[in-house]
Amino acid sequence: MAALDEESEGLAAEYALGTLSAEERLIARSRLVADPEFARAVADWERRLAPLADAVPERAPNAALFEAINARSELRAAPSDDAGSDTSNIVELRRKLTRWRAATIGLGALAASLLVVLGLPIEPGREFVAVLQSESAGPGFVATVDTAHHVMTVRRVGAPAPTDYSYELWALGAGRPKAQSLGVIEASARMPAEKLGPHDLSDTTLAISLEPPGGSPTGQATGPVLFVGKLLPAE
Amino acid sequence: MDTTDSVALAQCLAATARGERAAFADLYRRTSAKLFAIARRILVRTELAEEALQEAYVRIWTNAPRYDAKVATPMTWMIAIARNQAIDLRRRMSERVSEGAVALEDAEPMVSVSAQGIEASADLRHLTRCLEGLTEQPRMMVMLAYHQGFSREELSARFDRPVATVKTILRRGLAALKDCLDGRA
Repeated sequence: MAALDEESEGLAAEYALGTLSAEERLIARSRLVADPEFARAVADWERRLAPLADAVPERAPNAALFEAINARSELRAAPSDDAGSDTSNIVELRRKLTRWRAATIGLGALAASLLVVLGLPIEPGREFVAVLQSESAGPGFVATVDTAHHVMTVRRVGAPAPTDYSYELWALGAGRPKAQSLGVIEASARMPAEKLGPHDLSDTTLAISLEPPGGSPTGQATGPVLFVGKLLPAE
Repeated sequence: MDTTDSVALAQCLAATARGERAAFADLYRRTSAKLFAIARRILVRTELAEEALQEAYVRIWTNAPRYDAKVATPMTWMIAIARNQAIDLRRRMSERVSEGAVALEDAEPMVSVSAQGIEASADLRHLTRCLEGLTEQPRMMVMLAYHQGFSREELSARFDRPVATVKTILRRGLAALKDCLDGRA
């Protein structure tokens, strides 16, 4: 088993401890999905630190809370089919590809395989792809950046936004001082690649947050971040 | 968490993964007071802790099929989900959280390693020994971060040290903690 480098090990520890900023946490979370060694390091830290919770005296929440949880729409579906029929094939494919990837093939190939399944054309060498995933529901969006034609496309592959909410797309990392809005996304969107700015694409992470209709009123994400994925060069 | 509880929780979690609502209710009954207490320390305000707890249990329900007993005990897995929800919410709500922070810190000083009146498990005793091997500042930073969800920035303000220095102190402290816990020091 390849050991993580010191920086990654420290990042895993700080993610588990909880000292990272909101954006660093987002980026760490996309790595959790993409990098099994990193995910293992985080799980190890969660195990190491968990005994601290033994020392916290229990305190019962309001009795009404369980009813509120049971009323949530996510609980209407059984746990195993939460991803819905549209994305279950992709989730299944991702599981199969995980071992394949672990052997020799780069993550770029994994993302590329998803795009093939979705019928999106990709051109190795000049395209970047990101599969934006959630912890609970698998892939939600797929993004491609074609650097030759200066076009970025985003396609939703998961459930639409709940009524009275919008999905908003953000770019993070690569020296951006804060998350950069790329606008509200309905089913799909096409935009000039220049919208991403003069930043290193291979160091850019994309995220989707849930916002009021029409997008965040503040210019920064105000709602929960539902899907995250790192842009990777297509292979 | 003794072994019997852990086995019962694993059974609840396995049944929850199959969509059994009674098992989920049982899981909630057995774990919600612990997870709520953890979230409330991080979020200070009861209504925010309830919001985080709601999100945590929705994730426990939807992710139950992905629980892997080889990676974590049920409680470790659920605590991580609850803490992640609470910390994410704390980062989004930092102003609302800090309004109430002074009062709670006065009432519940949480920089000591073990709470009074709770018999420490063997794991907690081991962790406590390792934490006591650190110097005071990294130890307090780890405790404040774990229990109250302090970010590097918040630790920087609390200890009056630059953020970059806090990162260095944390990384060194955590590396030493790992060596001690994994039996290499």
